[in-house]
Amino acid sequence: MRVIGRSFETAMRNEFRMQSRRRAMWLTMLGVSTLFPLLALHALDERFAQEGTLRAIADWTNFLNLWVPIAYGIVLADRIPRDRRLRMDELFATFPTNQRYRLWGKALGVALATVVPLLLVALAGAVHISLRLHSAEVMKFEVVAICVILLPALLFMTAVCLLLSTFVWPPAIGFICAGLWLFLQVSPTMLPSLANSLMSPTGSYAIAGLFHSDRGWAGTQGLVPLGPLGPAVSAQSGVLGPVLVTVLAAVLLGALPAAAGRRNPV
Amino acid sequence: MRENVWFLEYRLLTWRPAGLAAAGVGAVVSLALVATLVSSHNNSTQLLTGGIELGLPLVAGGLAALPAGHDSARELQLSLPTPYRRTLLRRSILAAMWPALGMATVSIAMVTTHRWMSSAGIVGGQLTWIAPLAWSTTMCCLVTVALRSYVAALMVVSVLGGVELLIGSIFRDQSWLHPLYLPATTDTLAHSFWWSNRLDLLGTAVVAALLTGRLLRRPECLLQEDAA
Repeated sequence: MRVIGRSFETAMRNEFRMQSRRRAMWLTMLGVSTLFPLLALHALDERFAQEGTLRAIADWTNFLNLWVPIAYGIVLADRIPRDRRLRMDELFATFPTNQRYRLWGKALGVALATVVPLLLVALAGAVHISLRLHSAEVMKFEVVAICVILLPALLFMTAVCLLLSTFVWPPAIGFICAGLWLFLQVSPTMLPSLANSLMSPTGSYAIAGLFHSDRGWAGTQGLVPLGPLGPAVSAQSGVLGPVLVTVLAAVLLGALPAAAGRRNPV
Repeated sequence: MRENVWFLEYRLLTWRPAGLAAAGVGAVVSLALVATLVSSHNNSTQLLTGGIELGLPLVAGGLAALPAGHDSARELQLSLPTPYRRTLLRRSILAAMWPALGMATVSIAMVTTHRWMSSAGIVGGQLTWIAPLAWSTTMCCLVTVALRSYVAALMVVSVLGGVELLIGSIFRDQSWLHPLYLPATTDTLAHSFWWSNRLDLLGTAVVAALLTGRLLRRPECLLQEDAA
């Protein structure tokens, strides 16, 4: 048990350090996540002033959530192929511990390191809103918004991109990742995107149920009848949505060692 | 001999760029078909135009930058009499050829089925896909070489495409951002600056290509950030 714990912890720590020292990661994540809010600053400020504190926070976090998971997923997607590129697979196979703990540690380490610049930008935006709206409650709401909107989406992208990277050609992952995320954002009345379902990783139920905002697609009658996956908007469904997305991401991450093991039998 | 080099490079690329381009065209056409079949308001023409104007040019950009991003024999290339930038140019053209063919095919199909959206006619309207293709391929190569990271280039183009699709008003409402706006045909509100936008995209592509060539003269550009 101690060996398993050390294997997980060492992989996580090493990957966290490696990822957090990549200049390209910081440049691109900070650049991408700050550039578009700055370009839309005037329009966003007007919207925030009309919406009030709670809905402004949901709007801001949802605004980031529109495109940031694409960048996040692409940055993560080269970590597992890198082991293959550096011919490390056979060496890892000689280790006494099971490879699944190393892979989960690697996934968590790289995810934690990549999420840091995004959290900084999300909190900086909240500070800006707090100053504009003269509200001290903003930071508290932003922490909740990060936990129920941003983090489940990023965890979902972590699982999808790492899983894809075990069997898809690396340059294709970027386009699959972008295509999938954009498809999940499309209006459910235009295409059957399931953006209005409880399982949607775009956080539509949390936005509507917990923040009373209409920025998501929750509660919209789409092209596909959703049944139990399209309940009425409420605080309960607002909490259940992110929980289900987190469970889905955990299940996908659970399949990661099996998918990676096809190339790397231990 | 020169034809042999092109043929050898073509074979080295394997089937993957063609497969990715085919998957991209397939996805765009499938979405348009789904929209035709299930949606009450028919968006298939807009989806096809968006595909050749935004989606497929970004695929072409990612493929064109791939040779600049990954080459295990990069140091060997420096010792050869052929300049490395010429090898990269040849490889990038071959890699981007497949999505370009896909876009040409879709545009011909759109013209023949009377789904052509461009207000500039059929001949001038071909800039709908040619200008974003030139911009995306050259810009991806420039970002890959400048930041020494293919992942960074892939991320920049994917995010730019996503943002332009979801919140295009940022680009439409600010005139200084018009030269960066790829879906100016798909977005009917952007038709007022269509010609200037296309010429800006082509001009930016020329500048990006020249800058990439300039950067490739520096051997230290060959050290990759992605190796970390």
